[in-house]
Amino acid sequence: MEANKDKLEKFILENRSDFDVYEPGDQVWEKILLKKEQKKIKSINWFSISWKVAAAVAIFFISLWVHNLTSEKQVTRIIIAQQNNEPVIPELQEAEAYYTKQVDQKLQELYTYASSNPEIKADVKRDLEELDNIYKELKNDLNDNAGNREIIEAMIQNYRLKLEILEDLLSRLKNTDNNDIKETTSYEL
Amino acid sequence: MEKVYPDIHKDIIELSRKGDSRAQYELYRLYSKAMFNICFRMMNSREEAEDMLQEAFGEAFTRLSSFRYESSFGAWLKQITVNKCINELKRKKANLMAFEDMGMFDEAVEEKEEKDLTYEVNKVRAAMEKLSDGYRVIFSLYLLEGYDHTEISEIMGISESTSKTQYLRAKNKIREILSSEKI
Repeated sequence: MEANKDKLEKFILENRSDFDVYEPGDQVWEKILLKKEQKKIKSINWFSISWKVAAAVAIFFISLWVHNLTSEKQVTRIIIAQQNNEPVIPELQEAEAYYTKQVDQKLQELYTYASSNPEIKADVKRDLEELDNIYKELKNDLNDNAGNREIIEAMIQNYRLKLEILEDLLSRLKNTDNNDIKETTSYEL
Repeated sequence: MEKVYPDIHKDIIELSRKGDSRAQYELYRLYSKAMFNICFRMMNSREEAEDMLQEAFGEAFTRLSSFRYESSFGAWLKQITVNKCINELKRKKANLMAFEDMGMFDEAVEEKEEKDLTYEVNKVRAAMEKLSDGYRVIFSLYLLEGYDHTEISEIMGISESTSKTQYLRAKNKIREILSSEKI
């Protein structure tokens, strides 16, 4: 700055600090912080999260490996079952799957119908349990007599019996229900 | 040979460089008032000055990694702050260009002799706030922020002689306001 300063210049330079009278509002710093956070989110630093990415990839491959291992186990189980002469009979497996589903369905239906009748429930339960015990015995027999047609037939028959009992009970319950409705309507008339 | 300024706030600067929020707040606490007053003189509005202050510090923190202690941190930050304000004034198409076509009167500007004016800070400041943008910015940059006319010509993209002329005009204008008006 030139040496020959005038009065105004000298005055301002001598009182320079008194010219800074204003203070910024508190919200300015908050806005600076906010902007900083937004920038952070926008520019994901791939280097800093690289270990997370690596971990995710590792977990993926581990789960893939575990999955392969377990499916291998299933295959080996069947092989072992065949080696142990446990019966792997597709016909029986199909029948089992089909009848179990049917029995479950009918049982559910029956339970809703007989919800007010715990005695029927108990009876049905006892009958089904008895048939289950017979089924287990048949299965043991089948292990001793691999592929015996009579035993397989008996097992399937066992399922049919279960289903028949349930269907019979259901139709009877439905009939009495209808009768009840008829009776009540006749009273009203 | 580059001059290296051993900054008194080197520790805080180094922590801020690494993104330490507490250190950055410390820098803000140390420098925000001085920078805000620069912004206020440049923008002549509290709201705009706060916007510029926010942008200046935001940019300073992101560019801190490139700070090499070739100047003091304060001077470096001031440069960023002044540039932010100049760019905003240009964006607003403020009347910074008005003085450009006055270059031809360079020689005609005379210092007006001061009468028996007694100055007061508040009155001088109020008179500065009444100047047009072009006058106020040059007057502030030269006398209060301490830039010389070469630096001002670079900052504002004008010739050095224009900067000098405008500064003299601004100074005369302030005297005029102070003597004629009851501030």
